[in-house]
Amino acid sequence: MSGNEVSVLEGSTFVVSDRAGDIDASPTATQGLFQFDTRMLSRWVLTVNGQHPVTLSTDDMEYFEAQFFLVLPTGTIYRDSDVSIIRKRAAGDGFNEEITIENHAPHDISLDVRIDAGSDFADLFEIKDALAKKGDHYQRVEQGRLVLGYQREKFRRETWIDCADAEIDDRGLSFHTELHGHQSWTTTIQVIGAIDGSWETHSTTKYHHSGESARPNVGMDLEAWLSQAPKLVSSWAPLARTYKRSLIDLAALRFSTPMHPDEAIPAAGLPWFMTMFGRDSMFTSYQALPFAPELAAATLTVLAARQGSTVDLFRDEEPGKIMHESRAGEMTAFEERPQSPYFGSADSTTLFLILLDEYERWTGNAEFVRALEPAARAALAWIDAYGDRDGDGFIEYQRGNDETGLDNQCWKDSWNSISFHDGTVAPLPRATCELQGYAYDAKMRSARLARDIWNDPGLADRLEREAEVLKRRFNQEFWIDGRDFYALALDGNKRKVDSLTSNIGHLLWSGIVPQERARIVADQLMSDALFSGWGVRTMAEGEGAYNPIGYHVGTVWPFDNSFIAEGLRRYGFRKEASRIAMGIIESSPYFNYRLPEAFAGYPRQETGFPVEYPTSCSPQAWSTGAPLLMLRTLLGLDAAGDRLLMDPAIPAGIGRIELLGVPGRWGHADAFGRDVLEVDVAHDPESYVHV
Amino acid sequence: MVRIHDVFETNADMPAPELTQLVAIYEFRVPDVGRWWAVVDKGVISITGVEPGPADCTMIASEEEMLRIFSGEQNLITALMQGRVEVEGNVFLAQRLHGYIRAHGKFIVESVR
Repeated sequence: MSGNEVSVLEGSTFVVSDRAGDIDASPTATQGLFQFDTRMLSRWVLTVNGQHPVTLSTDDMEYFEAQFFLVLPTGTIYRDSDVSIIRKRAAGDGFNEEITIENHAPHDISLDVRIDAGSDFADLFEIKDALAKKGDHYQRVEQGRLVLGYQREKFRRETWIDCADAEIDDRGLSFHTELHGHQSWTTTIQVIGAIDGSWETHSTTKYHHSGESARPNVGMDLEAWLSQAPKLVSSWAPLARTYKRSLIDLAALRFSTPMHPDEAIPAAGLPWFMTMFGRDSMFTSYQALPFAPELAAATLTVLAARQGSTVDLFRDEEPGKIMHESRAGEMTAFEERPQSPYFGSADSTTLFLILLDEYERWTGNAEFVRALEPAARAALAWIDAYGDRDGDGFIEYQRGNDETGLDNQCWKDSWNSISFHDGTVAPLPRATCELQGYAYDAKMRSARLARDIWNDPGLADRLEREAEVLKRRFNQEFWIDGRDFYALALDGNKRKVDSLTSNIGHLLWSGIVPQERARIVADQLMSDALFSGWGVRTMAEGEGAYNPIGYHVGTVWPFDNSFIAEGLRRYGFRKEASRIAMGIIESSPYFNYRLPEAFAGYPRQETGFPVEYPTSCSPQAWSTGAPLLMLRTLLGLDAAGDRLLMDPAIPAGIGRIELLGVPGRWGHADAFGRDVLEVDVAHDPESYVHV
Repeated sequence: MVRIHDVFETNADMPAPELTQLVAIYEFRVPDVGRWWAVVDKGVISITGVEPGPADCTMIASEEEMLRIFSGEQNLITALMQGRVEVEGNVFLAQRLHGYIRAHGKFIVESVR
């Protein structure tokens, strides 16, 4: 999001406007009211007496609500404005907007207020790719309501704009009012995303102002959400503030799909990814397990229900495969895009099994794991039957849909992310290293579930044998002797893709690295080539494709680092894990305590601050989850039977960390630790503010 | 030409191991043609022309559309998104059936040909 834009969101609704509250979409300004991947309103511009008000300040008080404080310009700095305007907006099935105009002068004034309204009903894909619409737009005024509509065959979307006080025409709303001295005037407008692709027509927005605060209702309201999360007590300001920001953003990103209205799952991120992504939702749910375990249950439930059932090349679907992305816009409906849902990720299926096991470890909800046993078995079958395309024992990917499918089906899904040391892109199919780590972990964890919960020791034995074979073969085939790290991937010709990347950190998290190689991997991760001072870069400086502002080839991703840190902890490298956690959390004040999707990989000692990545999503679910997993890493939290284990390793200088009321199979437990670990980090003394 | 009536009559009982955890009644309403019900219980789908009880999920579409869906030619989810099929009741159940049709739909209609 640009710093000149304000966004409010709730569920599948989000509104992006400028700092005056206006929406004026253009090919370069992705503003609008969006619901289920469709822009329901692309123009919403307020004028008073023909003038555009000037912004004094903007307050996005809650994630679903914002206020805009404006004045009418006087044309000179020597005269104060007599007229102030306050716009209060709350998102939810459209938005509710309350406009108040105050006359500060002692004399009467006459006001002509106008809001121009319109909608292009663009699919998000059409906005991203600048594509034209294929259906017809219409507008009509009926019974005090402006209806903006779009129809293509039987596909229909409508936005209704209701206001009792307005004169309505097919291009907007007009008001005329006379205000005595020191009088104010207020009106309320509902912009309803009425027919939006969910199965019901919305006849009203979710929230109304009318003198009361608007309230969200996705599962629970924000206050309840915050009060149920563990309470963090820390004198280290960046951690305390980032934690609170993360919890609020995670609450904001919860949404329900039309098919599963009772399951609140984390959407991937604003603005392009306000939908379900299998990988993103699972990583986020994993990060949030010690804080909000219900996210994992909802995510697993929805993904199991949408598990692949057949071979469908257009959607890259295979039996047992877990979906990648679900969309509800026009292009998806007409199968011009495959996201109905799309299955083009080679890691979602193994991550599903990993999350299922971790969820049971934390919550003890064996009944849930029993209910998902058929889905888990189908996922296990997918690994060998379809994940390993050529029978070499490794998972590899190549899209079945050459036109609109994803080329890279791992988390680094940009075009050049899988490149050799000389910078050339590796040919397909590609078997990236972390996919093998996830497969190993998925089998080991599923073996535990098979033995302890599904009562199938035979399956457990087989999975453990297969996992051991995979580990041995992986360590033979992926290790690069001359450079002392794991290859990023095996390419289509089974050549080692010899770039040093952050993927090796995920190998630690998965457990596929033998102990004797773990130290080497840890040293590579903390080398100057990979560690920028803020975090581990996606690709090491010195590689052919390296670019500090390249999406997956040099930037630093907070989510990536949270799993790398957790992997380092798994192998006992507590100083290294803490150093990464500290670096990422120390970057957060520069982003107003909201960690972005990614930031530039420039060395910390060169820039002194983390440089923004230009098109980063914010908030992004798994960046929001990163501080949560890092807290787990710093405190050394694990579930062991019915107990919460703590093994804190907190860097010296940041004081005591207490995490009170961690939910789990033990009920609620408190975790705490003191800073005793000497870590070589360039501290910012300003960041040690007592709160 | 295959008629929807023949499809439902020919496939009166179908094993559905994917749906062992599902107990539900579906109604297929084809305007100007007829209504059929599918009772899903313990991994078996039984189709009947006699209403077995209140439907949990009703799907309404033209005969042509319904045939396209059951043959696997038209994806049920995108048909819903396009407005070619209407659903009343529990939409989630439509998705569960979608998975089954995806895996077996082709055979359902081919069995009539």
